[in-house]
Amino acid sequence: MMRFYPGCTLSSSARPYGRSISWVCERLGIEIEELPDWTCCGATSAHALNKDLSYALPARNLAIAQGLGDDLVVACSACYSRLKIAQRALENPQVRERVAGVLGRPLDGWVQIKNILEVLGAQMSRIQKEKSKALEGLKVACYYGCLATRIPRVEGFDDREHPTMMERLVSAAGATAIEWPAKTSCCGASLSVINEAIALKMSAQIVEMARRAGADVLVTSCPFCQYNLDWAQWQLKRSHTIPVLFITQLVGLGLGGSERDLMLHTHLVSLDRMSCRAQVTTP
Amino acid sequence: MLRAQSLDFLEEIEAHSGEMVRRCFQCDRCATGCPMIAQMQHAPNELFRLIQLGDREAVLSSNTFWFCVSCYTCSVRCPNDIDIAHVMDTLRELSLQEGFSPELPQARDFHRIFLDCVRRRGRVSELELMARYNLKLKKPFARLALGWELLRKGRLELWPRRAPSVRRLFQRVKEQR
Repeated sequence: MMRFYPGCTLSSSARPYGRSISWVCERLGIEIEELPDWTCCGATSAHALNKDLSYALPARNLAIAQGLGDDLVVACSACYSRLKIAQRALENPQVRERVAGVLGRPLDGWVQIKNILEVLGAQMSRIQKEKSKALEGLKVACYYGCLATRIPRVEGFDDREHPTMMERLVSAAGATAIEWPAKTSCCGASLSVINEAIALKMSAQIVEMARRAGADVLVTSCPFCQYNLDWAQWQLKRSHTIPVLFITQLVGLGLGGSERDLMLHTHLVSLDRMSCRAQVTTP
Repeated sequence: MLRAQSLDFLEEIEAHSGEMVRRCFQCDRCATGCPMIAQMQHAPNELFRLIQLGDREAVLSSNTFWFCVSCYTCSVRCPNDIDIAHVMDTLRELSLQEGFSPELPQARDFHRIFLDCVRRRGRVSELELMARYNLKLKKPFARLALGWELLRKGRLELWPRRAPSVRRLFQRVKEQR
């Protein structure tokens, strides 16, 4: 059994991600259960202003997982990055002692932190075997953003500059992954709140690259990337839009999930355009 | 042995960040890959040169670390293995501690409100975060259409589930400083 760290967005702006992860895991028989008593990892805000908090907040969750002795699965790229970075920092005995002091508990165990893409990747052949023809002909641009693969001094699950895990998953699910040059560009992250104009420009550029590459749909594994790319198109009222799905929504579609199962009606940019390419049912 | 006083600042930054800023030899890789370079007063490598020269004032009053979005492109590309984005965190923290006013005060405010949401509830309610951020900016009705659209589509949680308290964790971090 694995424990799942959902993070704060998966019950709010990234609800379709949470829902589709549950659906896909159940469909594939992957046993995951929510980490009990989890709290926020601190995200960008903790490390932006307070180094101690940026280690203590993730460490609190790591300590719970350590106590249970299970692997920890993380979907949100920001949570994944913060948990990994804190874990690496805790290898330093001085940092570990300091953080243990804050938490009031020792931190000497070890927990395997896995990205959801790794967990799905381990099921690649099953996905391939059990996929339907729903996604045949659909051209997909996989977008990784920053934090899933760029973690300094941490051995990741994929190449930092040219990750391919999502492309392999997309192909296994029956769609066609396209090569395009912006898959690890930055969408602007929290700038969509702090400095809208810049974030709009960054996100719109990524969507434009996907459009030029001929993508019918973008997929991502990061809640902020999904939100920003979706939001930018909605905000700019673009006539040619590209729907932005979570990777688990697309894999779910390939495995026969319905619009309801995968919350496909929740996107700011409508899925109509995608549905004319593939035999996907949308509202 | 005599020692240049300008090294004090470099050593302070290195001690705080745990990163060897002195290794930077101006290869420009960080600046080349940086998505925010157009907004920055100093490119990351320029800022590092200023640190090496001990120009505390110029470094801590720069806008560079306020525009850094922590995408970590520089950190994973640095041939000298300096976690540059992490040094940006150090500089931001130090700059606020020393009372330099940020060029992006709304970034500071956003992060402070975010952390206060975590402190109070253990998890972040996006609705609370945005409402408080809007109030802070004195724009209570900003993004109302977007908020409504997200709410309508079921993508804003109205009543977040209760999480364990992290108030003591925050308190202890504060005491440790």
